[in-house]
Amino acid sequence: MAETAKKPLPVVDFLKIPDGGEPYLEGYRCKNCQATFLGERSVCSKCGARGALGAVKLSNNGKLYVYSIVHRSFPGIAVPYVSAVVDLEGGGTVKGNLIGIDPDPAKIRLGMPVQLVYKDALGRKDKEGNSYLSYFFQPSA
Amino acid sequence: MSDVYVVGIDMIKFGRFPERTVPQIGAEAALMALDDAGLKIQDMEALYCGNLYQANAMVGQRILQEIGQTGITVVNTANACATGATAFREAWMAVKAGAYDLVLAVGVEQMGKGLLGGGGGGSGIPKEGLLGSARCLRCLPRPGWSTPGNSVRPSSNSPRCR
Repeated sequence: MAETAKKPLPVVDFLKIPDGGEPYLEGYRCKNCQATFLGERSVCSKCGARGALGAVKLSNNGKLYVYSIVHRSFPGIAVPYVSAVVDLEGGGTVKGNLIGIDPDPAKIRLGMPVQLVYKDALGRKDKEGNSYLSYFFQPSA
Repeated sequence: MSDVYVVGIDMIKFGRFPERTVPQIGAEAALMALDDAGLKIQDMEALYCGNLYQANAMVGQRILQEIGQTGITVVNTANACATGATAFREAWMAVKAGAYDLVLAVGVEQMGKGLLGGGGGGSGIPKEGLLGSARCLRCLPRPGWSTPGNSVRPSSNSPRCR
């Protein structure tokens, strides 16, 4: 099938898939105050500087800021899963699924080091049959 | 600054009311609140109306069409789960500021069936259970910023969505 040969699409606009390179999350950093944001924006929310934000590649390493174990979700969504917010090294805060660890509060530790991994979006496809590349967190090796 | 008093309130019984329009439902509640206060729509100097799903349909003006078009100022608010509270807050502020003595605030919504929010929608694929839970992906991380070694969080009164 032609679809399977096609490159997967990024699940969100701040996930970049360079030709022949490794995927990464893109942030914007303020040249004036160094504040770092997930995704594109026009003006720095911290210092208000205009025209000072430039695209940066965000780190694949971070620390777990907070999480929630989801036991009830929408029809068709596999549970339980761990919804997590992670602070990336060097700036940028991102929400996603924490995988590779039991959904058990006894095993998940706030502040634990995690890394970003990039995988297929749980087999989900859009109406045109396109596959998507997503990002996940997992405990750092 | 004026002191502000709530002099009448009421609400209708919850229900689906498929045979009634949004302004009709809001009008019933508005009349009940006016009756509670012992006032008439002719006493009101402004109307603040909260409604989300018909945000472009001038629900406040249409409520006045039902209960009395007296020519007063109408403000329609749409503010997610805070829509009705925003209408009340604007009404309160107008009296507090001394612009009016008597105003009416009403919130009305006619919901669809099924779950609220994030099973699908938008472009691409559903993100629920893929990028964490709920739809706050776009608003939770973004108001927050962090600088190396100095993580800064939005304060508790920062704008967030459900």
